[in-house]
Amino acid sequence: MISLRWLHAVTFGWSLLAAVALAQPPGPPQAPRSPRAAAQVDLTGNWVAQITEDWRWRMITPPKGDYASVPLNALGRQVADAWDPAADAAADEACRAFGAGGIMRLPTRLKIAWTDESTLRIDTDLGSQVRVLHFDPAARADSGPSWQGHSAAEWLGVPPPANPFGALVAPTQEAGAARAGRSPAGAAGGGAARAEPQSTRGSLKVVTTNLRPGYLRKNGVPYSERAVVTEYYDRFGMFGNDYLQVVTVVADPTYLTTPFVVSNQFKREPDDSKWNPTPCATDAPLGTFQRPAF
Amino acid sequence: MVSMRGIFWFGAICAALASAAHAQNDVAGDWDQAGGGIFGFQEEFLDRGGGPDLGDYAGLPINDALRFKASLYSPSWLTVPEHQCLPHPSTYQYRSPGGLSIVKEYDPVTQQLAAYRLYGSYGLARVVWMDGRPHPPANARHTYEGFSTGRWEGNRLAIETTHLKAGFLRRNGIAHSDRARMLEYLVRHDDYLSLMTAVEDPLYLDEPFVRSTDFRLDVRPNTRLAEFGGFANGGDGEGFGASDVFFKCAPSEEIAIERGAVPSFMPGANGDLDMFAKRHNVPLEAALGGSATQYPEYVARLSSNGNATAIQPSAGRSQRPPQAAQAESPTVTSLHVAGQVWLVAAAGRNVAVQVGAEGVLVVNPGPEELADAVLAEIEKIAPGKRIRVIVDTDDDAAHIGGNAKFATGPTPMAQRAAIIAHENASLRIAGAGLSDRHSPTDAFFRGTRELFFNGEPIEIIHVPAATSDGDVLVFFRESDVVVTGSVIEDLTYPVIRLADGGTIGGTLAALNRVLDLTVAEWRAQGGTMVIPNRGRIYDEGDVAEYRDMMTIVRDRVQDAIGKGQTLEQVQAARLARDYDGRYAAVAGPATADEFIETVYGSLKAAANGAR
Repeated sequence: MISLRWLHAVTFGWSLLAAVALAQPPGPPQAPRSPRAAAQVDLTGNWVAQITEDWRWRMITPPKGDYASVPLNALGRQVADAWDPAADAAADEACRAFGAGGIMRLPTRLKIAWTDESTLRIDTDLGSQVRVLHFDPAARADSGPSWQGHSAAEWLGVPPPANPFGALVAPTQEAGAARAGRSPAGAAGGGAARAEPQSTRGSLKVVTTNLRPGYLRKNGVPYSERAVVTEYYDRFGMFGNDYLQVVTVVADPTYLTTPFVVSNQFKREPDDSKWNPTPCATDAPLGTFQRPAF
Repeated sequence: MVSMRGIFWFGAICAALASAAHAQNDVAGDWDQAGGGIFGFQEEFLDRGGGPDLGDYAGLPINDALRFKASLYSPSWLTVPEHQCLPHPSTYQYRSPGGLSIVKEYDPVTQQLAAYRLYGSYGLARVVWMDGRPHPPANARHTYEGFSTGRWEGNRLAIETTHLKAGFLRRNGIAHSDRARMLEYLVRHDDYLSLMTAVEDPLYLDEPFVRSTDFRLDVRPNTRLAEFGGFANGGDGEGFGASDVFFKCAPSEEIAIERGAVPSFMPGANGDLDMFAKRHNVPLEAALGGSATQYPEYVARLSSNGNATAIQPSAGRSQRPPQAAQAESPTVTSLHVAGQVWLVAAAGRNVAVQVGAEGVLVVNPGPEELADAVLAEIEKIAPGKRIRVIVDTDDDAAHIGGNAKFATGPTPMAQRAAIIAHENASLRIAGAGLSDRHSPTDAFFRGTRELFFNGEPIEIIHVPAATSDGDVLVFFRESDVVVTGSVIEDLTYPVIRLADGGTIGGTLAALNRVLDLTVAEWRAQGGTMVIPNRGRIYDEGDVAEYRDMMTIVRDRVQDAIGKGQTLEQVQAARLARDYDGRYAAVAGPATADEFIETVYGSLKAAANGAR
């Protein structure tokens, strides 16, 4: 029969093993790996938006006042109802719909590439915007508020092991490479889709602040300079296609009652042959908004 | 001094800390809509709430067949008794109101994670198996939730789902077929859960339909289903979805609808097809979707004056020739169906086998050349048991070919198995030039032949003028299984032999008779199992889908006849093009043209007073 004392001893032993397994691996001091080398997911390459949801709010400029499902407060609705695209254009504010709070929602292509070991850059052809994602926590905004603001990036996603003690028994190739100070294959570079296991094991989290006021939708649904945009980037391989998903959470104490959460899909393209840079533009809405019964 | 109790608690704390380091990735828990509450949709607000407009397919990678099908969809279709309790399929379920609860299930013996159970709104619980089990064989039954297996890939749970029933992707007629497959990724980021879904359907989609749904962690205890149902945890039991009846569901007759009627628009008669386009000032061609409408290039084809370049029918998969009937496997396999009944699949033909204490009953022994192989498979299912009864559902040589060999006793003097068939089939078999040992020994004239065998009542039901004048259904009342013979083919359109007394009307009557026999266990599925002539196991939901197809095509052809169209004109109009990919054979009597010709001929004959 198993005694309670024996059970306590076993529990203690396993607990120690667990703590050891999750602690820093032993070995000589190593230089920390760069964010590029430590990438949990390879996002680099060419991507095109697939607008399968909210089509009428994304592919066209919807009518003024059509802000259904955006958690606007009274002030937000007031501002949205006063939207004037001509005034935006005249005031050099044509990029309001192309800021970090809304750009991923639009029908655009993306080019994602590393500019150095700790900076990832995203270019959009629609509106010709440039987003700079800083993995270096010491990086600071070097100017005033902008359309794309200041973006701080970090990797998410330590994979949960099937066996919490498995790493002690049989280190995976990737974990072994990490302990040896080598970059996991597929952590850098871009282009063609790679085998899934080593390039899509985690997520990228980006928090963007220091924004100029912008639009969540092209029809003037506002976010303010106090908005904080949190994004989560993931790659998924499905049915032979390589997809990028960007979940966007916009929190804005000025115009929103709760965070506005949407997710956007992009599909990998083999090259940039369809890249078509265009400037920001304000478009006249299609039609007049008819408020639905529901 | 450190006590053992102290060591125990230290260990427990260490273990808790260790697991907490990984807990963020787990998807288990209760999840609200991203905007909070059960209606907190922040994407696809109308689609997921009150419902989409008719004709709103913009951004969906549908092909011409699905566009045609959806354009003729009538919301009145939901009044059909078999459809009133349709659940949201797993391809759509998490788009609906309510949240998502994910529960871990462990194997009680191995303590390993065995499954995730997903509870969404509208009561369709779903299991994602994590124990490495394979997906079922192709001829196993399909369900609205499908069969799902999962695996962890890094920080996300990957789910593969097969064995789906035909279901909707959007509640305005945009559907997927039962050939669809789904891949999903569940990934947790902080307190948000993201569900990325891709549905692939070779019949209706030009490329995988990709969309994502976001949820927010709900930390309130015991509120998820209670909030939706309205009873538990202080709920008042009122309001939307309040009561178990909402989840259990039973069809009711709320409006007068003729038995067997399947509401749908006739081609060109849907006056509301432009509902979405008009309401949002979107060009109709854009509203009607297609793969191109989801990409940035399409913006250039839109303009504020309401014009758009017309979408050309997709040149790829949607215009490929009709699907061939599934390759007929030379192998013989068996699958338990329910109770005492098994399905033996022999070169694409289904042989139904009932096994019990008295011996073996076989429905449709199958082709003669496969008789030995089928008998060997039956011997595996029922070792040492004799075949006592054979039922022929009609006179098709592919059904009765094995009669002689199956009926032979163990010795030349032993009593042969009884062979039961309807008199009309029996006469035709007798006149087919086969040996006497192929012929039924027990023909019947009346509507139903009753039998009590292996401890259960069995009804052999004549369905007049169906695919021929001699079709019967076989209903195992205790096992709760119906064998349809040629009335349901699954892999193809039915082969209705007009020259042998078959009619489209009789075949539809037979299908509705099958629906009268079947009782769904839960939300239009389960309960009575149905074995078609070929293909996979059906239940009431599948029979209704097949009946709908037949009824809708019949109605379209009838409508065309009413307009004075010739057979050639009807065939050229491809009035069944939304079903051809699923049911049209590439050769033989079940091709698209042959089927239309049969329906046309049957309706013309009926109009002329012939049977």
